[in-house]
Amino acid sequence: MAKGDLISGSIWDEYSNQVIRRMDNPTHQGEITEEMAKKIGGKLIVADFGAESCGDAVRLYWVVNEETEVILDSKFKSFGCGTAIASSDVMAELCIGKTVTEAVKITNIDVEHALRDHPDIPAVPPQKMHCSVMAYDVIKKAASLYKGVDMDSFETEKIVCECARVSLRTIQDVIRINDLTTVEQITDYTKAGAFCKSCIRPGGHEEKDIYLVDILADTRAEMEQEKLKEAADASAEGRHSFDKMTIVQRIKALDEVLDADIRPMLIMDGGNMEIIDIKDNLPHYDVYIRYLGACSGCASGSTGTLYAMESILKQKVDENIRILPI
Amino acid sequence: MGLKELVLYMLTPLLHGGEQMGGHRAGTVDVASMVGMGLAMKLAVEHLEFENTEVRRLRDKLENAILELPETIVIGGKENRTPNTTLISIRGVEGESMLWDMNQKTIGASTGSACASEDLEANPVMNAFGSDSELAHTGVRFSLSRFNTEEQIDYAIDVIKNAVKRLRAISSSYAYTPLNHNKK
Repeated sequence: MAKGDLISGSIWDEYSNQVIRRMDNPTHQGEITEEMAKKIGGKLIVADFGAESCGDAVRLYWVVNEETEVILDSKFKSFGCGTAIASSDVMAELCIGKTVTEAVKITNIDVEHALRDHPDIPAVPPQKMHCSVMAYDVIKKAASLYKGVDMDSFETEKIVCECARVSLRTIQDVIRINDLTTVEQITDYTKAGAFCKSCIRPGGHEEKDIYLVDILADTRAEMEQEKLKEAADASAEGRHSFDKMTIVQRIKALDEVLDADIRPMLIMDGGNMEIIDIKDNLPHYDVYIRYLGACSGCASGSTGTLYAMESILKQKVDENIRILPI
Repeated sequence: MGLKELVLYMLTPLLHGGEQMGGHRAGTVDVASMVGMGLAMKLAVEHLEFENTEVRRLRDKLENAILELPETIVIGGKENRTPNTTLISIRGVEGESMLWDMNQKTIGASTGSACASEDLEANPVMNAFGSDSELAHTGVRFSLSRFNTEEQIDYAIDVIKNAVKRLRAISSSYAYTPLNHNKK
């Protein structure tokens, strides 16, 4: 056990001066009554999010101009920790002057950034990042009340990590593209799971309907299955890598691509081409071809058309193919 | 097999590494720690009566002062309790925000629901006592020792009252009226 685990208290040093200032002296704390809203000249919206029994609750007041949708004034009340109160304060401030539609785009990450003293230094310790999420949720709640729609309609993607706002799609993509095998890698690539850690596995302080460990396991299982299917298909269809093919298979493989992607374009211009020979010239495979019809003698045959054919064959058959027109 | 062998055979060492006593003793006994532990125990016993009278008096003073505030509850009976601690629930004030205010004024306390320890669950003691789920996140625990002075307790009372006033005014779940807080 390290010293840091035994002696707590250092967490108090990890808050920015902005967080401390706003927690000690929140400037947008308070209530807005119907009469006050009338005086300001807008519609009063009161949104509650969270519950006292969960340890975190926030109430957001908006006065909205019904013609322009501009939020004329905003205040909050909070039953929550220092980070929750400081986040709510900055959130209420950010809402003022924006339209309801613009305000919904304010995320907990914007709130946290607004609380930073220095652009590169986080405003709160990682495990407290979660406390800013409620500031984002209550804005969506207020907007849903104003517009008379469901709160979820403001989310276009399934968010797995709310602290860092990382979507399910992003996590699946990053696993596939980078061939990730551990949750730690997912966190390194996306920051998902770096903060309150609730989304990593069941048993965190907040229950989720989907966890990083499950997404990783499911995505890896899918990738494995695809790999097996690919191998089975290749063997059933007799597809091997180019270097293992017989000369007949090689010509067939090249002709398939030529017929699909290259010849139609040549034929459109009244030309064509044929394969004469294929020679191993390791690490290259030299494909000798001859242009036919309008292609023979065409200047592009040794430049643009040639490069296009070569790059398609490199991409679809083998990257070491070179085309040599005779 | 003799008794000694039998006992050694049955015991599983807590610390490993040494070969003495058939592998049951990990190494040379830590004399300094043993002497330190002995002295600590001696001091604790000597001050037992002091803790039970003087520290208890200060704890009760702190506790009673907080209970003067409306809607505050002490968890646990008064009699059968250690004399130096108190767990108090302050309606409408989230425990960690209370810690924030006290920390700003150099007073240390704890909550059962220490967000900082990655565990935001309600204080299990409060749940076990069957308190309102709404109160579960409002528990703050103060621990005194024989080193605390009367002045420190007076200072703490002052800080706590101001913090409760301030945080209830911010609270979304406490209809704050200054009157409530001014009455004796």
